[in-house]
Order: sequence, then C-alpha cells, then structure tokens
Amino acid sequence: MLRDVTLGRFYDNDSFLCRLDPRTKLLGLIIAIIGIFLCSSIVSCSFTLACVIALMYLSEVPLRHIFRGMRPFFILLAVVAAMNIFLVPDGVFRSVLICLRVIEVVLVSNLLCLSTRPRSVASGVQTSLGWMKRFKVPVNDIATIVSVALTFVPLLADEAKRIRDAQISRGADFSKGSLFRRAKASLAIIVPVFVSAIQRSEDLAVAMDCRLYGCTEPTKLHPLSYSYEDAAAYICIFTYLCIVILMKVGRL
Amino acid sequence: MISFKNVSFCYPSYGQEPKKALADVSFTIPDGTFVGIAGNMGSGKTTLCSLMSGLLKPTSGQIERTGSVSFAMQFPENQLFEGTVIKDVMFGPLNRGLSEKEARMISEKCLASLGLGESFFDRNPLRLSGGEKRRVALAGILSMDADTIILDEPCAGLDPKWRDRLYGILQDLNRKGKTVIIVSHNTDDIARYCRTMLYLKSSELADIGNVGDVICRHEELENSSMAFARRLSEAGMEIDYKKAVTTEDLASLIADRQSSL
Amino acid sequence: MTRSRTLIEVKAASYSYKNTKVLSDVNLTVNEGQFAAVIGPNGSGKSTLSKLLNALLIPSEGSVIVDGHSTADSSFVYEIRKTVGLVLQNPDNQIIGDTVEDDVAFSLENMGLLPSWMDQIITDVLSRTGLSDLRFRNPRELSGGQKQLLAIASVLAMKPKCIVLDEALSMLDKDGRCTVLSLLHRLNKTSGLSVILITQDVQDALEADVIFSLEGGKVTQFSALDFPSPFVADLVSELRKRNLSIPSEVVSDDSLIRYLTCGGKCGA
Repeated sequence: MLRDVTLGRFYDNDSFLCRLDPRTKLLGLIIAIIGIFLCSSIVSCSFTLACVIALMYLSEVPLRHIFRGMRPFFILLAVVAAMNIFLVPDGVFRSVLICLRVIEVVLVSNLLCLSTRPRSVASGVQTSLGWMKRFKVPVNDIATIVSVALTFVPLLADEAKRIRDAQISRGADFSKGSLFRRAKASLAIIVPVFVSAIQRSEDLAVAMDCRLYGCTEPTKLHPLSYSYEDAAAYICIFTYLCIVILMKVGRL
Repeated sequence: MISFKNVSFCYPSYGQEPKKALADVSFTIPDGTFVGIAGNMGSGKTTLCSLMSGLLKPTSGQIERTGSVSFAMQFPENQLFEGTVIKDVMFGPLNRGLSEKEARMISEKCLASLGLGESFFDRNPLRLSGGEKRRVALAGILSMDADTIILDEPCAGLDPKWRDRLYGILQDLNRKGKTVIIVSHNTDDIARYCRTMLYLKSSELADIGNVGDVICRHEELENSSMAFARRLSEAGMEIDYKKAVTTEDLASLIADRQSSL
Repeated sequence: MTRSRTLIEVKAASYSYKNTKVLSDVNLTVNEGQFAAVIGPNGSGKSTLSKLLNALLIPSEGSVIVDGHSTADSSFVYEIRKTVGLVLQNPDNQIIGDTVEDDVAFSLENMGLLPSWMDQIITDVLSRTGLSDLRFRNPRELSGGQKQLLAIASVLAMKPKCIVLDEALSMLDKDGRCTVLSLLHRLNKTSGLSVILITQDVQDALEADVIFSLEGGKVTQFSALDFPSPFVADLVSELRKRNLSIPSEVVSDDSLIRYLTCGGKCGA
C-alpha cells in the first residue's frame, strides 16, 4: 500500500493536462474542489463526476494508475460511509454521495500530481505567490520546500517498504496481534524511516548549499508562460464554476 | 536447501510496462554451502535474495525451501529502531518466541563476536559510528540463528579489518552446517571465502558453479589476484594467470615458477 | 607536467565536533590540475575534511585557503563553493531536479543566469559527461553510475577549478566506478580540473598524482609508487610463507612486479 502513494510520482506523457501551465492547474484544482463540495444533489454530483471523468480522459494516464493512488483512501471512505449509514437519517443515500465526493476530490488531486512535475508545482506556487514577497514572505523557500517534499515522498515510500521487508525477515509480524502490539510493531518501521528522512534531508541541504542555493535571486531555466491551451482551460474552469454556482442557487 | 525452478519475477512498475527483474532462473543450493552471488547493479541480485528469503513471491516458476532463512538487506543499519543496542539485537530472537533470558544470551554472544562488548549494550544504536551501526545490525541478523543466512553486500563501506572478521564469523557458521549466501561486487572476497558462485547478468543466471571456474569463464569478473597475475605474465613471467583465483593461488604459482628456475 | 600554482591549502587545520577531535593538525596542499586521492578508514574524518574544503565547515583551529581566500572569510563563501564543487556518496540524496537538464540547471538558476546562457552551459556539461542523450529523462530512472555522472555534471556547470568526491564511488558497481573514474581522469587531463577523490578503496586511488592517507585524524602523503597497497602486503606475506624472500621496501604493485620479473635477482 505504501508504494501506491501518488504524491510526487509524475506520469510522463505529453497529454493536454501535462502541457498546461502549473498555475492553471493549481487554480483549476482549487476551483474543482470548491465545486465538488458545493454540490450536494444527485444532479450536481453527476455533473462534477462527469467533469472529473473528462479530466481523466484528458490526462491520458491509464486508469489503473489513477486508481492505484486511491487505495489508501478506501479505509477512510469505509469509516465515513459506516458512520453516515448508522448515525444520520437517510444515511444510505447521503453516505453514497459523501463517498462519491471524497473519491472525486482524491481523483482530481491525483491527476494534478500525476500530470505535473514536482519542480513545476514549485514554480507555479512561486510565481502565483510572487506578490507576497513584498510582505517579506519567503516565497522562494516555500516553493523549494514544496518541490523537495514532493520529490522525497516516493523515495521515503520505497524506503518504508524496504524497512518493512527487513523487519519481517527479523520475524516481525505487522498483521497479527492486538492493536497495541501492532502499533508497537509499526514503530519498527516509523523510527527508521524518520531517521532516514533526516539523514536524506541533511545530505540534500549540503548538496543545495554546494550548488549555491540562496546566492542571489534565482532565475528559471524554463520561465513559465501561458499558451492558448491555458486560455481554453481557464474558460472551462470558469464555466464549470458558474454552472456549479447556478446549480447551487437553483437548488438542482 | 533452496531450489529455483524456472523462476521469473516482474516488478509492478508505476510508469510504463512492467520491468522483468529476473528471467527464467533455475538452480539448487544444497544445505551447508557457502555461496557468492555476483553481478552488476540492476542484474537482479537483490530480487533474487528477496525471492530466496520469501519476501517476494515469483511471478512464475517454483521455489522450494527447507529450514528458516534470515536476510540482511543492503545497508542493514537503516533498520535499527530500538532505544538500546541490546534491545535492537533481541528484537529478532523475541519475535521467534524465545524467552527474554534466552534472547539476551544469544544477542550478547552475537554482539561480542562482532567486537561489541558490554559497554555498547545500553548505548543508543543511532548514536554509534557508521561501522558500529552496521555491526549491531548484522548481530541482529545473526541472532536470528536461521539455517540459511543471506547477506546483501554486508561489507559495503566496512573497514577491511571488520570485513575479514565478518567473513571469519560466516565461515565459522558455515562449518557448523549453516548455509551462507552472500552478495558482493568484490570478486576477491567471493574467490577467497565462497565455494559456489552464482553470476547474474541482465536479469538472467549467466553462470553457476565452482568459484574458480566461474571467475575464469567471465573476463569481467577478473579480480585483483588475477589482474596482478596477468600483469606479471605480460611483464614476462610465464604463469597461467587464469589459475590465480585467490592471493594464495597466486603466491603458489609464483613460488612454483621461481623454484623451477 | 609544469609546476602549477597552489589551489587548496589546508594549514594545521583541526576540527572538533561536540568535544571530540575529528581532525587534528591536518596539512595538505593540492595544486591546480592535480589528481589527489584521500584514503582513510571509517570514522577517520574524511567527510569532515571534504566539508572543510568548500566552507561548509570552518576549521576550529588553523585555516583552509582556497584560491587565495580563507574559508573563514564569509564574504567569499559563494566564490569558494563555485571554485570547489562537492559530490556526495549517495546519488539519490543529491538530485534536486525532475529532469537531467533541470538538475544541472539548479546551480545556474541560483546564480541568476539568463535561460539562454544556462542552455548553453547545460549542453556543454552534458556532452562532456556523456549524458546528452539523457537530457530530458527523469534522473531517478538512471543507473547509479549515471546518477553520479549527473552529480558531477551539475557541479561542473558552476565551472569549478576543483571537484571533491566524498566516497562518491562507494555505492557504485564495477562498471559505474570505471565510467566515473575514467571521466574524472579525462576531465583532469583535458580541462586541467583538479580532482580530490576521497575513498576507502585503495584501488580507486592508485592512479592519482598524490595520495594522502588519513588515519586517526592525521595525514601522511604518498605517491602512487610508494603507496603500500594492502593487496601487495597480503601477497608478500603469502610469498614469504612459501620461502621466497621479498625485501621490505617492495610495497606497491609496480615495484613487486618489477622485483618478481627480474627473477628475484635485481633490486626492487
């Protein structure tokens, strides 16, 4: 399950979604999520679902890759659904809707991660938050932290898998025993992964220092630029937002 | 005994088509052998070890295994997690169901054999030096007391002194009837300590057999003694450099040559 | 070889870490265009030494002079890091970019260069390191050796005069080692780049112009000809067991071969 995390796992293809400017995609993600949470009826939820499916089509990522990233969320979903079914009147219908919305949010976020390189996400954040520099907000550093964190997630996930295997070959059993025993056993994974994360980040800090991080105001090898495709995307995003608001107002 | 019959393994890869890590591998390792596995990075050595230890299941083919197996992965020091050295080494034996007292006894013995005396027992393993951490981690594997011990590059980054000591311990265990399987890029060590050798090349088993024979059959496996012997023969000494599999062999070749003059 | 000028000078440098002395009274000099190797066992202070050389650490006593500037002078820090590039042991931990070209660009971006200029430098260093074909690949998909070549390319982009490799070969297989070592020797010969190769493996060091042995925080200097190789020491002791007399001054590969092929009759 650890290897299923999509964060930082970029799927390199030359799809429409892949080519878009990261700023467009970040704004699109925010609007998409707002829209999904505004919708609470069958009609509006079907509309957002259709939009998500359209995005999946545009990303050209094979379906199984998109859904691999979903597995960690199934437990969460099961809990949410169970609580709704038993605790809320009209529970079955509502829990189906809630699950659908959570699935949609996760799918859209997955698509962003799969279609954007971590460093472009960082560039996007850096450029869109550029105005904050006036208030002495360290935007460059924040952007670097985001991209480094994104690139490190897959490395650490692999590491966790390796350490889990190593402890299993020392006789550890992560699937049996009481909850307390299992929690204690998981320390055998968490502690080493934590230590390794610290070591890696120390190394990375040294590597960044050696390569003149913070020397002057940095430039970009590929400065961000909008294309006509981004214009089209913006039109779609705003149309989507308008439709969602209209449906909300019209109680559809 | 470990026996592979037409074993293949593919990693489910995240990007494009799945990568074949091991293709149609068959061999048998009888009990009580000292085996060396050589091969370049990405040739499937680590996958092979994971399959032998049972951590991975083959995509196709059969694996038969008798007795217990413990596996020391590459850089085993990364798996230390307890607050004290002794507790960390006891983790394995306790999981095996030994009593606290038995586990402590075997752990102390394993630590001592790797030169870590009583003064180390209550120290935090994370605060030790790199070499010491490695030895603690290896003690944690040896304390499992398995019938077969698999070690993936246990000496990478270890001082020569401790490397020889570790091989000494492994030889002792082997004499007591354990099967020892070691992955190493260092064909000097394999030639010196192992009897059987497996050579993997781009996911396939390129060769298996007696160490000397395997090394002779593949130019790229040439080790220091053979390289030195080749330079000697190029400089005019008439020796068959292919026979210089270990330093001892080389010394004997030179001594024979000198006495016949 | 023409006598070139001193590039790095470590003068009576000591370094303590939490009250334990890691390095004490270290002296060494590396000239421009020289290929130096530093050999030492675990915990001998090799990594500390590498960090002293490019102002990541400042010696607690003594000084390190790089290209005329003391590393203690904070106004020259970036100048010094441009002059002395550092490549670390674990290739995975020093990759910053999502593509090969992006990783090389990291230092150039930090220097604030224009994109067109960066592009030229990237093309140049990638062709010098033989990575041109991999320019748009994800560095995580490269082999260990290729990752270290990339780390070297990224350092070369800063146009350093010296490149320090801190155990950078230790995680590579034989092929990876050979590619990286031959690249280093080529760069050293053709571009006059100084190389300081910090390693545990004597074999990697034998082709260096000068070998520094670091043991217990102290440095001894050798040339490749008089460096005592452990393999030769082993072989000599085996030969002596077989009643062959080998003079004690025979310590290196070359001298033993010379001694043996003379039939043991002429001097070493």
